Amino acid sequence: MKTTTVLALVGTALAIGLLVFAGAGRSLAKGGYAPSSTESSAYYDRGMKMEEPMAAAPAPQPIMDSALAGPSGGLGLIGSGKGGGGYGTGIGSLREKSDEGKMGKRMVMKKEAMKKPAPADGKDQEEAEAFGGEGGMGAAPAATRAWFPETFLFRPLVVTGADGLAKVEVKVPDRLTTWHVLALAHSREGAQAGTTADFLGTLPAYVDPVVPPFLIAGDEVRLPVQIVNTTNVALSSKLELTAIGGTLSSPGSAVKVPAEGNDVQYVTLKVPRPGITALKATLGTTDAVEREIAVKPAGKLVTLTTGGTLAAPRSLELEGPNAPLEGSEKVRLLVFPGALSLVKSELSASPGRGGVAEDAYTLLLSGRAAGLLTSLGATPDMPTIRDIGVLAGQRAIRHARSPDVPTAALLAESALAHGDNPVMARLGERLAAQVARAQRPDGTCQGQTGWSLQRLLVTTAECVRAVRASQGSSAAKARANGVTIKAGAAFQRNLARVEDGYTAAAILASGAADGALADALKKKVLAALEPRPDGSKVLRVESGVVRADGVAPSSMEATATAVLALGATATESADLGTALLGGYSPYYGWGDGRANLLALRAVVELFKSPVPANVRIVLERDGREVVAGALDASKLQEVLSLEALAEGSAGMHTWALKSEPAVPGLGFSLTLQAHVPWSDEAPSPGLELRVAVPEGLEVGKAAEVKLTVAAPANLATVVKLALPAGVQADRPPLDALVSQGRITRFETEDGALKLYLPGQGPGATFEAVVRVIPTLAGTLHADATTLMPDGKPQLARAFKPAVWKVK
Amino acid sequence: MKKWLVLGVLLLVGVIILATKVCLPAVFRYGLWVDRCPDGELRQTVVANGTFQRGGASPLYVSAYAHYTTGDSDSQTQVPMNEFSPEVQLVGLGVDQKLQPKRPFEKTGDSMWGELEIPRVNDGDYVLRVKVHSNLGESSVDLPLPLYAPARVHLITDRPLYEPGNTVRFRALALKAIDLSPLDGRPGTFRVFDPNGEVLLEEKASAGEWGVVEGNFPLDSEAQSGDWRVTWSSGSASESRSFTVKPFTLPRFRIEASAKKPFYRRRERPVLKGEVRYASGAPVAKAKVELNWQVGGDWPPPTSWVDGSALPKLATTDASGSFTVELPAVPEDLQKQATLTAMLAAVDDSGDRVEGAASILLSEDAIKVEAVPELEGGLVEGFNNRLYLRATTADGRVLDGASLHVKRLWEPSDKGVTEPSDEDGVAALQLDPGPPVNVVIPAQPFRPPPRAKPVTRTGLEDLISDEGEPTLGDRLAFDRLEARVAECTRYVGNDSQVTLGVRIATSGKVAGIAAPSTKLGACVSKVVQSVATPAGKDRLLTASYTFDDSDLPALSAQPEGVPDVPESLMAALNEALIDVRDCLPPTVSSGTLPRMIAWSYAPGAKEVGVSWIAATDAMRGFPEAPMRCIEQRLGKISLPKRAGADDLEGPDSAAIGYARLTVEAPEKYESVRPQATTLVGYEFLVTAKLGNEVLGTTKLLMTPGTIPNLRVRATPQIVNPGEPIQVDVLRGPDFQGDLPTAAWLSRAGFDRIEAKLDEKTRRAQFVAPADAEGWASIEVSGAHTFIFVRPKAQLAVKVTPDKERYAPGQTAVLELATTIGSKGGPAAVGLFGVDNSLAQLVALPGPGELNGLRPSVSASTAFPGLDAQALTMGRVRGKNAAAATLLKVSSLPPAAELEAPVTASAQTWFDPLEGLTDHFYAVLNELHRQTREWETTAPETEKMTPQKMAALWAKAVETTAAGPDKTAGRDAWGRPLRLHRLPADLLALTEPRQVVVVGTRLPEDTENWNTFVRREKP
Repeated sequence: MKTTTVLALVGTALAIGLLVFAGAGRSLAKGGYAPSSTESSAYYDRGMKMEEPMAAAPAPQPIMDSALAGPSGGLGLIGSGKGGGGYGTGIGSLREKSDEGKMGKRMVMKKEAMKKPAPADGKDQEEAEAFGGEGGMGAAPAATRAWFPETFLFRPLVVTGADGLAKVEVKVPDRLTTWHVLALAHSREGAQAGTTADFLGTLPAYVDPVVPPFLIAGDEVRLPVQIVNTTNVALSSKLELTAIGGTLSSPGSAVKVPAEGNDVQYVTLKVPRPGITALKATLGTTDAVEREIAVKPAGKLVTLTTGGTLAAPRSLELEGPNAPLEGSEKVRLLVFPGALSLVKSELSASPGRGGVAEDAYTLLLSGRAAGLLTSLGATPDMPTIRDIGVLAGQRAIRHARSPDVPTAALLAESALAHGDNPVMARLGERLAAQVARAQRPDGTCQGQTGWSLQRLLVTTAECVRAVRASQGSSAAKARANGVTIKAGAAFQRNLARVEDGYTAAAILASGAADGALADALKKKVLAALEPRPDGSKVLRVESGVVRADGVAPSSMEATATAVLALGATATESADLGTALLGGYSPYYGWGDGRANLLALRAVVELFKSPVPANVRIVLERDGREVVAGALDASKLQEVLSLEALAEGSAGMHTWALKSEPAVPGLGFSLTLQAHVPWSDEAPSPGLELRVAVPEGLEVGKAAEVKLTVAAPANLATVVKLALPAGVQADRPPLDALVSQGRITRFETEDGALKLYLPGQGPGATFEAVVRVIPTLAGTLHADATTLMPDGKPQLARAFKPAVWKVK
Repeated sequence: MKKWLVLGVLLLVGVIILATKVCLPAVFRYGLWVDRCPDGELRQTVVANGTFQRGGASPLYVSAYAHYTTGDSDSQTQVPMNEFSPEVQLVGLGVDQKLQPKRPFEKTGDSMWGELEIPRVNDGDYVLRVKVHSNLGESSVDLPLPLYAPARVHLITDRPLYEPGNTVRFRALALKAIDLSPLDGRPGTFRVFDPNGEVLLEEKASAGEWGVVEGNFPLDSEAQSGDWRVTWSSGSASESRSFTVKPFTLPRFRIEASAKKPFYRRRERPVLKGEVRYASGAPVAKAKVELNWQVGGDWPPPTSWVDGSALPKLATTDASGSFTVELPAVPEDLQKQATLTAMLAAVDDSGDRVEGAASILLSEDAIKVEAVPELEGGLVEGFNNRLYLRATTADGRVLDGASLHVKRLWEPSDKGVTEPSDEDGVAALQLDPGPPVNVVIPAQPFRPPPRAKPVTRTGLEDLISDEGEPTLGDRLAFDRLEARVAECTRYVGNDSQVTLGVRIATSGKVAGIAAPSTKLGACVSKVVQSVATPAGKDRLLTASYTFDDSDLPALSAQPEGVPDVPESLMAALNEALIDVRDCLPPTVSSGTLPRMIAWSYAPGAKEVGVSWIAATDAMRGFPEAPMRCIEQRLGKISLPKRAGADDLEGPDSAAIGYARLTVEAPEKYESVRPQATTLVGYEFLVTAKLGNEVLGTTKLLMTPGTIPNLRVRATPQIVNPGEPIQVDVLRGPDFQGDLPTAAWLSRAGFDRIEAKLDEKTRRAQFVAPADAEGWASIEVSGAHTFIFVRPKAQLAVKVTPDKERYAPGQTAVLELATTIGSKGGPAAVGLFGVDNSLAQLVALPGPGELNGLRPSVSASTAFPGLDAQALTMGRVRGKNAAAATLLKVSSLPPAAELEAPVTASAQTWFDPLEGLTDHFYAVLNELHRQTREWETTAPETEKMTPQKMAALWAKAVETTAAGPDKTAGRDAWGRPLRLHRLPADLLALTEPRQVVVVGTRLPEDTENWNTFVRREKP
């Protein structure tokens, strides 16, 4: 087992490097849809081929998924040249989806290997010359084509010499197509000109699997594999087909393609699990191509996460999600050595999370990342951090169009963390002003009839923190002073009624309490600390205690608040920090965005030193080892990520976890996850949709999908009809619906058709027939179809997707 | 002495009186004439504004104001300062330079005015710092001064279409507006807007060398689909570019098709040839190609083309990926031109599908001519008209070297005129058309509208069933009857609706039927009687039908008889004629049938004797088949029965006669039948010849025009710098008065050049200025013409890959060559390379991207492809074509400014609340602290009275002022913070109830805090 683990680690390391170079194109959606064991081993293969000619190290069960080593993707952010990937959409989402994403996967091929054997006739000779003696039908293994960008050349400025000449070298991508170059020139004298040029990227003979842009887990699709021979000699070869992340009905067969002819072979691909499926087709030594298909999850993701520290062996009773979909059960163990690893992990993972608070957190993190990383001794990768900020900014602006005060308070501090970004600075100032206006004359903030005083005080503390974040002008400073003093008086007046540690901590952490008030609050915080069996401490959250949004704070959030309230130097803070480390999950951080906002600040304050080297970690289920790994000396700033399939985890099981030696400051997060079948969401009054998918669907034959929509009168709605892979909407009937005024417009995109419906009359329903054309046979699933009032996505209702059977 | 004493007393009295009206200390100390003396210190603000231009005279106005209070801390009064001296500095981007006014600042009203000269610093955002020195001290204000040369910006993204998660890359190019030379180092800002118009990125990005700046924007993986926008703006120059974000898949192959011939004429059979190829260039064999046709143009295509029944719908590619479809012959009635467009969809072996389009041009004539008359509106009779005529093939190809012969069509003896055409196919003709004539515009061929559906079943219900729904079997059985029910349409009279009651027995057969007692009802009843429904329960069905007879012509009889026409015969004839309506074709014209009925009647006969004889004044060319159908149906005419009796309604005596039969065509066809129209003007026959070979003929229509009083003609109109230009002034017949003496040559941004007009020859001569380039106008007394001066050195760029094809992974070497004039020269090139398959989803930018940067004249198009822009880009080669193009120019482009003036203003603000609030909160904080201490330490019986709170406030002020910030206990006027001077909202924060936390520390009897403060002024 040790050997296996070492091999797996080596593979992981190489794969991480590969993924960093690849831009982590295989980004995982939230929840990380991991490939299977065989997938992983294949990735290692590629990684090793790329790096150095060493033997492949297929990782046996338990697996360590290279892509899922993603939290170390934070490495990409500090410019160390390692890491990549990332959880959720993570860093992967920052990379060009196709332009650069797969560049790194191109296997380096020596020229000798690419050389074509002696041509059979003159034409072949010409072809060989046309291709520069490379890439033709040769005896050496063909390079795998896997880099398929849409843009292959972007050179904003090339200056020609005094003779007007210049040369530009550019790598020809793997897609066999005509590449189009536009050149726009201008001279010092004020003249302009333009021209275009085309060239072909092609092969004399090639294989081309026709793959859809996506599949849904559980799809079984019959994929055509085209073999094209443009030479004047017949081609006899072996077509080999392999799939990573799916199973094929056939491994391929011998094919004969006549001269200047083509042939289509069919293979059925089953994709049981979400993630990335790579279909590789190899045509003898002539050509090899790998096409990736994003496999979206079917069903709803259910996760169960727990955490702690590895100060001592841990034994946990966990009840895995019931009725899991096949192949969707996984266990993921993450071990976090120190604050730096967490910052990097969070930079990688937070962009993939969704929600107002989460986005606020990502925005805050990206605004402060440079300073945090620098203070922790790392070199921040500014372009990447800037990109995270841009992405988080897009979401924050969406949330902040007309925010309520709690949202404004959440986003203000985050936006103001980007002081040099004028868009964010304006947004932050606007939000801070809005929050300040919400302070009442008695010093409290917001509040509604029926709120508990505890919630009011916590909310007031949050307002103070948001307003104090804005200090960009003298007016803002005065505003912050005023809000702080008024709030301080309110806290003082209600000190006697502050009964729980969380509220006391929130007030203290806001900065609006000092002197005797602060001392009194500290006492309340300390009184509410609870030791845990592992020696760590958490802040107890009393029943009925809520945070500003009315939700009970998690133990981790309360604990983080306590750290910020007491300060990093307080005696108790070390124990609180231990709990925080243990409570971290790379998927969710410490909970939701509000919790993360506080917890990362607390952790960074507390843990700045690395943990000891060579710590071995073992995870067992019901006494059997599931996965193991080690924190080696070179990776002490990384999150150790271990993942394994965990079929049979449904129901109650005993999980054991230990580190050798035990390290008190070493946190872990253990997650069980599975997708479960999902049903229609709870009815949203007033929105009804029926989608009648016809039977007897056939490839290439138009079929009619009947839509019936009922909504309140005069309410414009949007139907997003989810279509399975390979199903195209036929435009002419949709144009006719527009010209008839029955729909205002429509938009088509891969996997979806959006219909914009005008408001209907009272009691009237909208009925329309949409013509679709399936292009792939199989049993295909679709996403959920949604119906929403136009411009109000928050009121969208999702409907259980149908299964399409296409012959 | 006494006198001095009196004088002193008077002076003292005067000073006392003055002192009651004016604050003398303010006068003596600050030079301010104010009626009440300020309390506390005075504050000064500055206002400055002006219009500034680098290298030009820039006026600056400066004012200074004194602010003071005589009461509360938040109140203020403002008065202008009478005496102050300004000082100006230009600051920013490494510049810190004191600017001296050309003359000392002068007083104007409350302001000082001076004229500055702004140095020629680099583009950028500067600050004009204006300092004011006065008795109140020194104050300064910064005027933002964006100094940017007027610029033109070009912006492009790496491609026009992205998916969420992609990165958008963009490149901006900043050029000087005046000469389009690159603006190196030009500061600017990129902004990215989402489909809602929200700014998602605002990033400063200055142009680098050659005026080029790049940026990028990573799209969120959940980025909203729609049209996004990126802008780069710098100073007042800005450019925007849209791009689309949505998930998409690049097509694997493409379908392309084109007509075998450029165009097809009447009776020719068009052939469409196409091919389907993979993106790799390999052919797609056995691909199924679907074709959907549309016809564009004025000519109405045959109905069978519109419904697609006559046009091919499917094709299959052969081994080379090619397909060919042949269309039916172009109808004889084709007029002018029409375009057949095929929407193509190809499906390959794998089931993948792509779409494309192709078009076929149909043309009546082999050539096409377009004309540009020199005179407004067209041709003028009795005048030597100049007409530019361009002849091309029907599909628009230039007939280079052809000669054009033009003759009047209405005058057979006209020999016409012949002129050669230039490189662009344009000939210049001089002709006098004579008086205008009525030209007949032939009617378009008639295409009957689609036939109406003759019958619609509007209801079918089962009255016995609970839900009223008939069974699917019954519905199907009635569906099958509809074609036969439609035959009853000819019986539609006043009533077009029929409802039947049909009882169906368990066997499925009709057991009973009830129908209206009309001929229509009887017909429908007869058809329904035969319905074969499935066996089942007893059913009582109601079936309703609505008929539409608008496609059926009506037939009427005009009988004549001897001794007369019996009424019963008339009724019998009309009844019989209803039965023959469907013999007539729907497109029949109105008129009399070629044969008429010869009838005879004998008393007591049941039928009228009928034979057929030829009719006079009948329609010609009426088809024989319908006539025979009518004759067959009307072979016997039965007389109706007498009402209430068994005998017939026949007359009592014999009669004989004839009856003409008249057809009335359906109104809906008659109303849309096109008719020929006329036009007052001229119709010419134009013949294009190449040597002796006739390339084609066509007709040219022209309208009458008018002659202006004065015209200007320049020769040549396209010139090189330094070349002479001859200007001729041409008078119209209505010109009166003195001839002008000068002609003027104007260029945008330059002074006009004058040339004397020779009185006798009415001719002037210019020389194109050596530095001229582009457009210029020549004007003589309101009449003008335009010339174009060729650029000295035009730029061309060429990109050549070292090979035509590459294997994936190879390195392509792109060789760039830029030529300036005829020689290679340095230039900046931006390269953007994309997968060409994108062009199937979205239009890609082309080589003419930068054309829009050059200012263009206002002009309309002379001939297709020949316009002012084409002239600017050097694409107009022919002399005549250039002259015609220049005729369409209406005005010069606006002159680009070398330097744009910037209007700037700024002022400093003094808000007493700002300083007050800052200090107030510091004191309030201290007040809270002291109150907490008092709550803790004071005897339990001691209550917080207003007096106590006022004392604590005073102590808090004192404590705060003793801290590091000595001004912290003072208001904005430098006075100690006193409660009675506080504005109401701040005072409210000091109320004991707000400050005291423990409520029992407050007295039960509460004195109003505001009243106390007002009274006690603590």
